This record gives sequence, C-alpha cells and structure tokens, in this order.
Amino acid sequence: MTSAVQAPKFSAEIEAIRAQARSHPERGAITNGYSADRREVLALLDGALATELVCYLRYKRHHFIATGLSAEVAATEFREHAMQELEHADQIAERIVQLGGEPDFAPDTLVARSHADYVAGTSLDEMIRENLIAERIAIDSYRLIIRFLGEDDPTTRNLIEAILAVEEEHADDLAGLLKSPLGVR
Amino acid sequence: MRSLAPSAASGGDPILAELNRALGQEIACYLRHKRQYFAAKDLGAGSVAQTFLEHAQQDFGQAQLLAARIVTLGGAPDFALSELADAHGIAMRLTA
Repeated sequence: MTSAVQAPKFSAEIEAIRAQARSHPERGAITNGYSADRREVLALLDGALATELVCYLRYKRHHFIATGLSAEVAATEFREHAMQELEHADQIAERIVQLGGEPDFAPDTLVARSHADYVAGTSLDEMIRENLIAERIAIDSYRLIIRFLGEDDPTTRNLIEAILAVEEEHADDLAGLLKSPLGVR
Repeated sequence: MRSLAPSAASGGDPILAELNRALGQEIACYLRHKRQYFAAKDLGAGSVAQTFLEHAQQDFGQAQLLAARIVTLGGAPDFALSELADAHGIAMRLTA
C-alpha cells in the first residue's frame, strides 16, 4: 500500500507544519498553508458583503411596500429573505476579519460595490422580478467565487457554498411567486 | 395590479420626506455601528464591541418603526442610501 511509503514523508510534513505554526502566531488563521491570494479573496468578499447588504435593503423596502399593498405572501417572503441576507452579511464580515481585512459597511458606496442592483420597484410584479434577477446575479457570482477559491481557501469556499444554497432557495421561491396568482394578487 | 409610483413615495409630503430622511440616517447609523462592532471585536475589546452591537440593534429597530410609519401614512420607505446621500448631502463617509 502507498500509505506505508507515505507515512515518513507525512510525518516530516507535520514537523514542518509544527515549526511554521510557531513562526507568526499573530497572523491567527492565516497560516503558512493558506495558499489563496488573500487580497483577491478579500476583494471578492467585499463585493459579496455589499451584495448581501444591498439585497437586504431592497428586500426590506419591498417588504414594507408589499405590506402596504396587502400582498401578504410576497411581503412575508421578502421579510424572510431580508433577514437571511443580513445574516449572510454578518457571516461574510466575520470571515473578512478572520482573513485580516476590514468589512466595509460604507453606505454611499454599497450599490457600486454590489454585484446586484438596488431597484426600488413600483409594482408587486416588478418587485418580485427584480429580486429574482438580483438573486440570479448573486448565484452566478458566488459560483464564480467558489471556482476561484478551489482548494486554496476551503473555509471561505464552504461559507460561500452555504450562502449560495440559500440564494438558490430564494430564487426558487421568487420564481414560484411570479407564477402564483397569490404572489401578484 | 396596484402600483405605487416612486413619486408617491413622499409625494411632496414634508412629513414623509422627513421620515424617509430619518430612515436613511438610522440605516447609515446601523451600518456604522456594525462596522465598529467588527473592528472592536477584532481588537479584542469585547465590551465595547457589545455596546456597538446594541446600538446597531437599536438603530435597526428604529429604522423598522420609521419604515412602518411611512407605510401607514401611505408612503414608500426609501432604502436607497446612495440616492439619499445625494439628495440630502448627509455625511455618510465612514471613519473607523
């Protein structure tokens, strides 16, 4: 078996890891084995953070307007999606800090940094459609980030994968709402 | 289907315009406190971070109340921060 051949090599690697771990403990989670381009990862996460915050704001507005229109099914979906986007924003911000970056919450540049747009929306149909489009943009931009990260930063990749799964659910919910007479009343 | 034209958001109503301005300020404060929370946490200043988080949650609750009131008065709450920054010149540039 190959394991017998690899065992000595593996233990040598562990020894090297033990030595490297002592060299810069102040770097925290950024160890010698972190092979991703940290600047690039931070830039991607910055875009993802802005995207989640803009989606949160859009959903929030749409929740209130749908409530005013007594479109309760859509209003409830918008509120739930808004809360989930805000949780994603927090998770991404935590990861940015772990990677030694600073999460940027500056409101005046949020929309410019976001992958998806803020569309105010005038009718329920338009609001559902715009949220769906934004989710679809987020889905594909997260797939791109996942491919970029590959094996270089599995923790960030896992985070984005988990967020992607929720965004796919959102898109599915909205597509259902678009078809349903209940959604658009 | 009913629609709400953007012009109906405040419709020139000074109360709605004021409430929307206040809403924008609360959201901007929420974001600033959130940023400060993460910065303080990273510095290991746990109790300071906790204070910022509480402030952020209070701003969040206040934004919620303002938006609900705007809807009750027949307006549309404005969550577009960039437009708000342009319109009212609110100093939103954040400093750590």
